Amino acid sequence: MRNISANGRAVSALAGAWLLSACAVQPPVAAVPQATVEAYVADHPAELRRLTQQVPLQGDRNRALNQMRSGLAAMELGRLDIAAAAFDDALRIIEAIYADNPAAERARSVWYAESAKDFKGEPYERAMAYYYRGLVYLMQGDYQTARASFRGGLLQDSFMEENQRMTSDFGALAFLEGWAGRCAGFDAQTVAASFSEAHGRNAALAEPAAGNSLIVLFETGTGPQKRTAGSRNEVLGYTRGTVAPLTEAEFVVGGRGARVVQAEDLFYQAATRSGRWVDTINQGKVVYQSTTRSAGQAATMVGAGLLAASGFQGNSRASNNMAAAGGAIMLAGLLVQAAAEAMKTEADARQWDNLPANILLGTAPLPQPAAAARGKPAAAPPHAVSVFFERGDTPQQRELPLRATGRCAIAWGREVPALAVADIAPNTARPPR
Amino acid sequence: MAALCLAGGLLAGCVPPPPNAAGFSTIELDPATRGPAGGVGIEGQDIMAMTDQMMRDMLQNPLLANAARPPQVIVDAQYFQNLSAQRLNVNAITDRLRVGLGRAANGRMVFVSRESFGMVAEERSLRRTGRVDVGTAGMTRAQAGGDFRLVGRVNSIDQRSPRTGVVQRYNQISFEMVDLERGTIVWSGLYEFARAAADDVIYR
Repeated sequence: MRNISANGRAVSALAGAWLLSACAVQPPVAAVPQATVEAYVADHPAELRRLTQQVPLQGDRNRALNQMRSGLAAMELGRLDIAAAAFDDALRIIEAIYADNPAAERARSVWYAESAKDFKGEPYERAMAYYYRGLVYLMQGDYQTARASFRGGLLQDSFMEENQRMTSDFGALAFLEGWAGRCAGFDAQTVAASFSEAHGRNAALAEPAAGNSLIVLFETGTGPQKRTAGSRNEVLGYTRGTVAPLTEAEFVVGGRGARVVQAEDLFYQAATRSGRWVDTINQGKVVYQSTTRSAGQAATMVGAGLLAASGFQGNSRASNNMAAAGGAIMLAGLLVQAAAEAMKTEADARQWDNLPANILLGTAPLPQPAAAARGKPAAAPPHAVSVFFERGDTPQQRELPLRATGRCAIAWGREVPALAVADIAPNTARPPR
Repeated sequence: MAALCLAGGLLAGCVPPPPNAAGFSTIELDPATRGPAGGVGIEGQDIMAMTDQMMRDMLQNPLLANAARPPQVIVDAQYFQNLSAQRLNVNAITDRLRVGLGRAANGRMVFVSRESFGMVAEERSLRRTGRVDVGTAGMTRAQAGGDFRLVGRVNSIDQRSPRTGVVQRYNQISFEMVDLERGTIVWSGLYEFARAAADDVIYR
């Protein structure tokens, strides 16, 4: 009888181990052939490839994230074609409705971390994807579609007020919506409504003077960092980036200077949104894990107690039965505890890590080049805007390329380079369990 | 046995590998029907449906399709505004409308390509300076002017419930044909629809 019990325990243990390992089965992730990666990055600048190659290498789960990172870096390098394609791809994923989606279903399961889902980003990250796509449209002179992109970003950041009216506190996007509408020649009422919305959210964002056709956008510092909190890392939180935002700067174009205002603080945008529903799901996983672990511990103790008690019964049939039952219950308890430990409760802390801390914004009339005079050729139109600022006590300067198309012009640039990030985004290296 | 049952119950929390893990080969889709991926905005099948409807409606208008002298009309995206929250190439709407109208009108309307103005002006200049011959159709005093021109707007009203994750969009596309001499509207049409969908709770 003892032999039978021992065999039964071994079979149970093996079966349990197999079943638990089945829970950890991942969707197959095929290795990406080198030729595929090389073909993908073939027309990309050399300094960009370490970021863009992550798109095929890390697959669909991180596709939107890698497109956002590399799209921003491509913008900085002046490759608007690559940036446009990257952000279009990211927005396609953001705009897709994820209903009955297997990856999302996995992320809800106790066996997988939230990061098993395809990355769409938190609302501030989604809004920034629309922001950058809108800037690329502005640089290309497609003001009408730029306006639609900024409006799309506002919707990502929107929430319902008590009067059931949709609203958003992303003042910079509302301002840019008005700016793009004005550049597109939209009616004054539509344009004024956007500027009014921006001013309502950020008093520094007043409607620009009618003669201002140049917009200057300068991004400073590094973006908010995601962190997980809670006993099992089940809640998502934020800290400020390592490089603090600057709130003052001056720009000079064609010999005339003007100041910028802080249009947006991304840490504020990230940290002030009300709680995520998925945090509630993760907290539920923690409760389930804790309950399961407790049940396993209780079963283990009961089984151990029965095993110990069987020792006092002598070598009788009742003693053997008690030992077998105790062993089985203890094994079940251990399996349940192992299962509890295999549960994944962590919040998704993947993040778009080359975002800035804030956006500074200013507008000005676009200087007209002086006409040719006798003996003097016509002056070339300005091709750059100089931005002056102080980091600590050190005065610094950046030259932002100026692009003028149609009615308006734009100069955009950053204090911290978009390429100053690691090859892969934070918390994306490990495949999800 | 108890262990097997317990583990089996736990296994219920597991999810099989996703469908289409190996992808699928290229398939032909009917552009007039909704495809496997979509959102709440304007899609290909909407553009086909709306332009077909507008085309039929326009051809019923006596000023446009039954005038004694075929009117000269301009159908392009120059005055077709996208005021919606969707990034949309409005040329996809006006191009299909113009091509469809051109085929169905069968000479009852004459279409003026204003976007080709520069190209035509260059050719006219070459002809008049003798650098090329006059072709076979002869010369006119000027390029064709328009009797009517299409204007339009794409509007959307969006609603989102953070609690339920439901996104709802009302899409409205208006079309008007404007008399370029008098400024009157000789024809108008409206296409509207609303869609709603909800993301998985994991994204809320």
